[in-house]
Amino acid sequence: MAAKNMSILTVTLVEDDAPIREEFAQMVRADAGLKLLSAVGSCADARRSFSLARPDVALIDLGLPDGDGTELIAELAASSRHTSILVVTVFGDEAHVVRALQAGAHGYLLKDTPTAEFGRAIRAVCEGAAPLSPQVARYLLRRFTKPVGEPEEPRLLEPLTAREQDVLRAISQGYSVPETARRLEVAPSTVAAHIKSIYGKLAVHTRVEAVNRARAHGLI
Amino acid sequence: MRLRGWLALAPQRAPEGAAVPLGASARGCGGPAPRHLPAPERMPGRRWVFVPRCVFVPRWMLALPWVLALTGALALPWPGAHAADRIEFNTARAVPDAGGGATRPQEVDFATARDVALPDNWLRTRPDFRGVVWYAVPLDAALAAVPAGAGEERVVLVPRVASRGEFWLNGERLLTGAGTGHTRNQALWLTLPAHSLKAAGNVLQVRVEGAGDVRDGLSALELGRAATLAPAYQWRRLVQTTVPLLLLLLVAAGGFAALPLWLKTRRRAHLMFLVLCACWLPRNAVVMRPDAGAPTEALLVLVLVTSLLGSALVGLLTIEFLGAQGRFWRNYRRAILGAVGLLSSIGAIWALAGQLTARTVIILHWPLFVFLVVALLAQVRAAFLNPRPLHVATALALTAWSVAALHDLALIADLTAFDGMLWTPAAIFCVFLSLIWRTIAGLALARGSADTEVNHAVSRALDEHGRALEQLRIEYDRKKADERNAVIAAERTRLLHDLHDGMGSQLITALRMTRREEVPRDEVARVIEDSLEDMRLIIDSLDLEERDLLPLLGNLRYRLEPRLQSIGITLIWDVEPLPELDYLTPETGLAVVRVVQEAVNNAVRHGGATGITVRARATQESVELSIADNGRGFDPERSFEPGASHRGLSAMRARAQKLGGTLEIGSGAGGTRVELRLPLRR
Repeated sequence: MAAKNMSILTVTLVEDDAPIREEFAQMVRADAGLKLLSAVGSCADARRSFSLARPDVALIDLGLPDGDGTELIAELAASSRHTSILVVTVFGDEAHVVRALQAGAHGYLLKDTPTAEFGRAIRAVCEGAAPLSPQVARYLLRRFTKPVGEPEEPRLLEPLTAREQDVLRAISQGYSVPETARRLEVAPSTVAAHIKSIYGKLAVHTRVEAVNRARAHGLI
Repeated sequence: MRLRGWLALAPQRAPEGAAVPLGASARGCGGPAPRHLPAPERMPGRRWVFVPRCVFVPRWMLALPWVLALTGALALPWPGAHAADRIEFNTARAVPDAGGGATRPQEVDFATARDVALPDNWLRTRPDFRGVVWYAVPLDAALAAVPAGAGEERVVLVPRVASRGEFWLNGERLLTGAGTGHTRNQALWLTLPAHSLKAAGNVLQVRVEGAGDVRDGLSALELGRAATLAPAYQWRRLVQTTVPLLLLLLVAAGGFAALPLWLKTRRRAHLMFLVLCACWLPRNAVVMRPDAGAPTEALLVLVLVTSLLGSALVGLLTIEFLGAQGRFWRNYRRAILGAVGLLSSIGAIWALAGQLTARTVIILHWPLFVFLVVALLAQVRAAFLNPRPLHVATALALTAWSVAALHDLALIADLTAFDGMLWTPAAIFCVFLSLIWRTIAGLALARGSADTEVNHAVSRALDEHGRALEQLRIEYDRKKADERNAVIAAERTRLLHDLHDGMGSQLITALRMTRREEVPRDEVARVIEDSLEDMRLIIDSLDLEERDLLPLLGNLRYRLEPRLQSIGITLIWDVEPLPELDYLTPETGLAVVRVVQEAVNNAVRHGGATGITVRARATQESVELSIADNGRGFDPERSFEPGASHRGLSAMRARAQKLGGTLEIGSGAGGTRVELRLPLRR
C-alpha cells in the first residue's frame, strides 16, 4: 500500500467535451503524482486505449457520442480489477451516480472540482475511500431494504448486512465517513470498506453481462 | 388447447391448423387411394401416427387389428368340434310326404324309408321338393356309446333344421322350445327324457317341413351329455337368436331416438339414420318372424327393399360421417341409390313372376356389395390416416360386415357347410353400434359447435365490455395525465422561476463582470460557483425521497464541506433522525435548504467564524433547525448593512413564512444563531 502511494498513478480520460478534457489533462499533468496515459473523446477510442494499457485511474464521462459511459465502465471494471474508475459529472446527482455505481464505478468527480482538490480526490479513491452522498445513501438504503415495487429485479441484489445498513443510515443523515466511524465505533477505513462492499452488491448483477461484453470487445 | 399438449410430443406433426374438424373434406392428399376418398384430419408430411395420445406407432402397425381379427375369425376353435363323448349321426332313414298329411310318426310308414346321408341338404338331394320329409334316426348305438351319467341327461343337438322341424322320441313328442314357429336359423336342444327311453329300439323321429329351392333340410344330429353339448348350443344360440333379437331391439330404440333427433337437428345424417332404423326394423322382424312356412312374396319384396336400402344407407352414412365431398362421392351416392332402385325393381318383377324366393332376395344383394366395399375402403383409409378409436371401430365393424356378408352369400349359394350360421346379424349389430357411436360423437361435435357459438357470443359481449372498460381506462388515464401534466406544469413554472431568479441572474451578473476588466476573475468565478451551487440545490431537491429532510440537508453539507474546509471552517453536524414533514416536496425542500445555505453563507462571509454548528431536533409538533457560528455577530434588527446580506435575511424570513414556520435570528458577541422552526403538518 505504502509503495503504491509513492508510485505515480496512470490516468486515462474519457470525456467528449474537449475544453473539459483539456482542463482535466492539464490538471493531471500539473500533478506530480499522476501521469496521463491518454485522453479520448469516445467509447471506441477508449476501448482502443484500454486494450493497449489499463490505467490505474479512469475518469469517464457518462454521456459519450458513440455510446453510454456505463457500458464502458462495466467492461473496464470486469477486465481490469486494479483500475479505479471515477465518473465525471456536473452535478453528482442521484441518477448519474447510481447508474455509475451499478456499472461498477468506484466514485465520482465533479467537473468543477478545483485543481487543488483534483489530485487529492483521485488519490483518495485509489486508497480505498468511497465517496457517498447522503441522498445516494438514502436511495441505496431504500433500494436494498425495501425492494418491493422497484423496477429493477430486486432478487438480484444481495441483502445488506446490519452493519452496512448502519453505515448507510448514518451517511444518509449527513454524517461524514469519519463521523460515521466514530458513531459506530469503528475505524474510518472500515466504514469505507462497508461502502465499497455496498457498491459491489449494487454492481454485482451487471457483472456477468459486463464480462460478456468485455469479452465481445476483446478486453478480456 | 389440448392439441398444444401433444404438439410438443409430436414434432413431425403439421401445425395446429391441420387439425381439420370431423367432416372436413380431403385437401391435397395424394397416395394410391382414389383421389376423392375422404381423408379427414389428414396431417400431411406425418410419417408417424398417434394412437392413444402418448404412444407413437408406425402406420403399418395399424394393419394389425385387421390381421388379428381375420386370423382370429379363421383360426378360432369354433365350438362344435367333435369329441369322444358326443356321437354324430351321419345317416337316417327318410320318407318324403309331399302332401304333409301325417302329423305324428305313428302315421308314417317308415318301411318305405330310404337311407339318406346327414346333413340332408334338400337343395342338393331334392331341389324341386316342397313339403314334408320324415326322418328316423336309430339311437341305440349312440346311447350305448354315451352312457347316462349320474343325474345328467343326454341330449340331442340339432344345429339346423329348416324350415320347420318337429321331433319325437319313440313316438313321444319332444319339446323344442321353438313353439309352432319355423326353426330355420335356430339350433334345437332336445332333452331325451330317461323315462321315454327303452332298453332297445330307441328311435328319434323328425318331421321336416320345407322347400328344396331355399336350401332347407336337416343337418347332422349330435347326441351327448348336456354339459358336453351346451357350449356349441349356446354359441349357436348367441349368434343365431340372441344377437339378432338384440339388434331388433337396438334398431327399434335407435329409431325412436333418431326421430326426435332428426326433427330437432334436420341434419341429413340423422335422417339417414332414422331411415336406416325404419328399414332394418321390418326387415329383421320379418326374418325373425315366428310363423311357419315360406314368407309371402309381398313380405319378400318388403324384406328385399328394406334390406337393400338399409345396406345402401350404411354405406351412405359411412361416407356422410367421413364428410366425403366431391364429384366422386356425389356420383357414388347417386349410383348406390340407383342400384337400390334397380335391384328392388328386379325383385318386384320377379315377385310378380312368382320367382322371388328368400334365396333370390339374398342374391339380389350381391351388386350392392361392390358399393359397400368402396365405402369400407374409405373408412379403412380414414382409420389409417387418423386412427381414432371411433374410426378404427367403424372400419373394423364394416370389415366384419363385409366378411360376414361374403360368408352369408356363400352360404346362401350353398358353398359352405349345410349347418353354417348366418354371420350378418352379428356383424350388422357391430355396424349399428358403431353408427350409433358416430351419431353420438357427431352430436357431441354439434354441441361443441353450439358451445363455440355461445363462446363467440360471450366473447363478443366481453369484447364490448372490454371496449367500454378500455374507454373508461383511456379517460381515466387522460385525467391522470391531465393531473400529472398540471403538476408538471406547476413544477416547470417553479423551476423556471428558480432558474430565472437564481442561476439566470447569477450568470448574467457573471457575464457583466467579465466585460468589466477591472473586476477580479476570482469574483466572477465566485458568482459562477454560486450559480452552480444553486443549480445543485435544485437538483438535490428534485432527488428528494420520502419526505425525509435529513438526506437533503446532508447533501447540502456534503457539497459545502470541501469549500468550508478549504477556508478553514469546521462544520459540526449535530442532528437526530427527523419525523416526516408531510408537506415536504422538492419545492418546500429547496426552500428549507436555501434558508440553511443562506445562514451558512452569512456565517462564512460576514461573521468571521471558524466553526459552524448545524443542529436538527424534533419536538412533538415541530422540527427545529439551527445554524450557529462563533463569529463576530451582528444586530439583526438594525438594517445598516446594505446589500446582499440584508436581502438574504429578508429572503430567509419570507421563505420560513411561506413554509408555515418561523425564523429567529439571534446574534451577539458569541456569534450568530439562526433558528428555523418548521411544523410537522401544515
